[in-house]
Amino acid sequence: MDSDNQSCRHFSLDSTSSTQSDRPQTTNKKKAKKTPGKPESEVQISPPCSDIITSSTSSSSTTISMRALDSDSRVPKGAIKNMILGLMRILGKKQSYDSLRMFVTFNERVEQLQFYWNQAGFIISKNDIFQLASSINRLQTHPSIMQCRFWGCIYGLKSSYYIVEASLTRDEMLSRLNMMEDEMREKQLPFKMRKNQEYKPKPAHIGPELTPGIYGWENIDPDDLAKMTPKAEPVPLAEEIEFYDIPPEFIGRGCNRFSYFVVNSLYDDWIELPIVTPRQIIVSRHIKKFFTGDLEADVVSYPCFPGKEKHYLRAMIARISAGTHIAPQGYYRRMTKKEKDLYDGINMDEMEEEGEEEENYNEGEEDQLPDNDVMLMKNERFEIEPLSTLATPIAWVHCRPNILNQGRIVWFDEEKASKERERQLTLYLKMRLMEEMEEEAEEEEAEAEEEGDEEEMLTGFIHAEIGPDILSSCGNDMNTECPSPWLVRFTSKYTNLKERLLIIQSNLWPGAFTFLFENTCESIYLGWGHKFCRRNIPFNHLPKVQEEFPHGSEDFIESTDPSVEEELAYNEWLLNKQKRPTELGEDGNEYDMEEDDDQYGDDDD
Amino acid sequence: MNVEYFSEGLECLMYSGRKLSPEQRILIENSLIVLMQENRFSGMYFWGRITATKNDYYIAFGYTNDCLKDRKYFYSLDQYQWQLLPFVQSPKIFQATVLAVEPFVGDPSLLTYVKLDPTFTIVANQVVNISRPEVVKLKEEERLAAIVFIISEECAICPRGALYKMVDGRVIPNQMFRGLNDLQIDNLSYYQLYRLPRNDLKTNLSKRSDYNYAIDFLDTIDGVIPLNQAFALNMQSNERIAVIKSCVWLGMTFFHKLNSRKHGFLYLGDGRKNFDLLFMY
Repeated sequence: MDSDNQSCRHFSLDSTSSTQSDRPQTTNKKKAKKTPGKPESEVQISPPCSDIITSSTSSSSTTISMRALDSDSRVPKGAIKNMILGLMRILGKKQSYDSLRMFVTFNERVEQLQFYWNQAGFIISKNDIFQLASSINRLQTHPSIMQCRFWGCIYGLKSSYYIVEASLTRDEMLSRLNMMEDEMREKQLPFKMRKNQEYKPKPAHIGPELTPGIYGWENIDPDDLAKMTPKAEPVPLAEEIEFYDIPPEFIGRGCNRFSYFVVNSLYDDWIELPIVTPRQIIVSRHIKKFFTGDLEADVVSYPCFPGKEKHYLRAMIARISAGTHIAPQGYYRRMTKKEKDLYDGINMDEMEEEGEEEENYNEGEEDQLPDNDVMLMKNERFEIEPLSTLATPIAWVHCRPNILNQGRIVWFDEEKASKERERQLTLYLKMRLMEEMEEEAEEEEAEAEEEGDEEEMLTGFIHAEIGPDILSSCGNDMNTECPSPWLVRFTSKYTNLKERLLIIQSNLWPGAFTFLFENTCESIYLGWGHKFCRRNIPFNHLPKVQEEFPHGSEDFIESTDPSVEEELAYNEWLLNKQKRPTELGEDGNEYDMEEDDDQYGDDDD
Repeated sequence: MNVEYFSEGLECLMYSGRKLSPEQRILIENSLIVLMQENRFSGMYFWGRITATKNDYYIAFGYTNDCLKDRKYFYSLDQYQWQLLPFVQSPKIFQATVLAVEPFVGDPSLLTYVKLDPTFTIVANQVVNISRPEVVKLKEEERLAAIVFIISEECAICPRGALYKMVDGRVIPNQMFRGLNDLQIDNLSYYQLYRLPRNDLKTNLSKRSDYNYAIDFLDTIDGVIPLNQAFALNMQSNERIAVIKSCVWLGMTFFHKLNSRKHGFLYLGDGRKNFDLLFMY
């Protein structure tokens, strides 16, 4: 049970931070726009995700537009008419309206792809692929899954994983986001502010029993015992250290854009993998393990991997797909603004009225940072060039965003978050003080504000980490270990020149293939889940063993043991000494005694 | 893998994730049959492929009399013209092959220079002499021959009973071999290394109670170091095919069909040893 609980903790999130920088921006935008006439809604700290949720289901989307009707006086009357018409349409359908359905995310036809894989020479098995197709079909009928595609296979020692990449429906995504946000907010709080702090029992006594009343204290009166104070120092307790991880990306964003389902044998039910956290990605870069085929197996490694094998698997999937999903230049395009808004869940009808404002808003944003965390669209106007011109990595581009060293796709400002936490803590403590004594608190408030200004000045100097852009050319891939990251092969050299496929395989991730034939381009991974290494990977060394208690050089003095002869001589000398006082009298005795004390200190008559 | 059941073998080896494209399969199968007839081999086997940056190497071997001692290896770049692989004897070449980290290029005449490890000799009491690391000229053809030899020595597998030692010392495929049954098939001690035995005959015989002089002279894979970590055995396709993958040379796959004489190994990889094995369990 214990381990289960732990894994659940990992499953959800391991980290904390301020949510503001990371929340889906659209919701912020929407909120700002929707409620210009209702300032009180901004002031109250309502759960911000309620807004997103409402926009998803049909029933509540109506309420939103109604609100817009009430408040927005600027909208011309014609627009209102249109809007009402649109509203009626939505109501007429009486079904949950999901704009995501309009986007083709994946090529779902497994058996068709199987033909190409077969031609290309990487393959599961003919029998398996039919089962796989049926099994994926079964998965697709689940109400919370929008689309899914076969991602590939990762081999394990006992059995291998079949992996399916799926995009979730908006309802599912939002309900998960809701849960996730609550948890993230809880995790972001400084420890002192957390409400439900678990009471930890003090550790059991370690070492020799010093407490009166157990052994050897039977003869002493209990009343005396109660008065006694122990001379020994109390056992030191471990202090709780505040530790905050970089927060994971929200479901439907960044590394967690898609969810992954795995199965060991195709008859079984698909199991969903947990979301990936930046820490898991960072640690997985330092270790190399075989998968066992058991999702709940421990990952024994140094540095310690935070999670079970399923988390390791998920981290590897994220890294592999970020590194190896490629397409020829022009095959994918970025979404236009309209599509993007549609994808982000803003209804078409509402969008029309707010079009101008949003454009301005978006432009301002894009100037700051190239947006890597985007969903790409298949380019309808893509025309295939002759394959021989594409037989070079320069003509290919990455179609999944790069994962930064931080373990995220969108950079997270950790320093800003820590300052945010500090500020929150001071505010919180101040609130407490306020309750106790009101006068002093006001002074402190002024001080805190001054500090806040300084911090804002400092944040300007921290630069965001920048990685290669999405849709950057594969020709620019640099790796010190692997001189040629991509290998290009044709399936047919001599005979069938018209119908040959182009295969690009990754050297960096052995087992990752991409094939191209006319308008079909797909990536697949069939391998052990290990990154290329030149010879062996530089594992981190274990740290030095900690000292149990610190000691100086004088605490232990080494000396050589006396030999048998020396001991015999000493015994003889002792015997002589005992005999002598009877012979010599008191003077000699005193003299000997002194000498004894000097040398050994413990021998007496 | 025996050319006799080439396509079927490839189907079974699909659990390694890679196989050959249709063109490659047809070219290799036909050219190997021709090669077998030209050289009057009594058995012809496809060994595998070593990925190189420009052209991949395809390896095959055949034998005339003794399937362990006089194997002849061939390599091909275009899948239908086969050249004899040189026989490498110099230990320096083997050392250099193990140390070489650059990928294969696909040009057999390419010369590379490999720096060997420095050697340490004890000159006098507690005085150690370090010699400068020696630089060895390594031709890619020789490197290929050495790596093929090392890989097949370390992880080529056959099921117990598939090879038969004759009275005159020759080793031939056992004509009476009918495959392992369902009790034996998932047991590592029923698989043997396809090489000249390195253990003493008595050691190998004494490992099992039902020993047979003609069959049990080979080393079994359950004794390969690191114990229980060098090979991973999986049962596939309704537990009717045993698939053994080598963890030391990732890419080496072996299959054996239940109750049939069909078995074979194939290496599809880049010729890189997995040095991290001991940290990966």
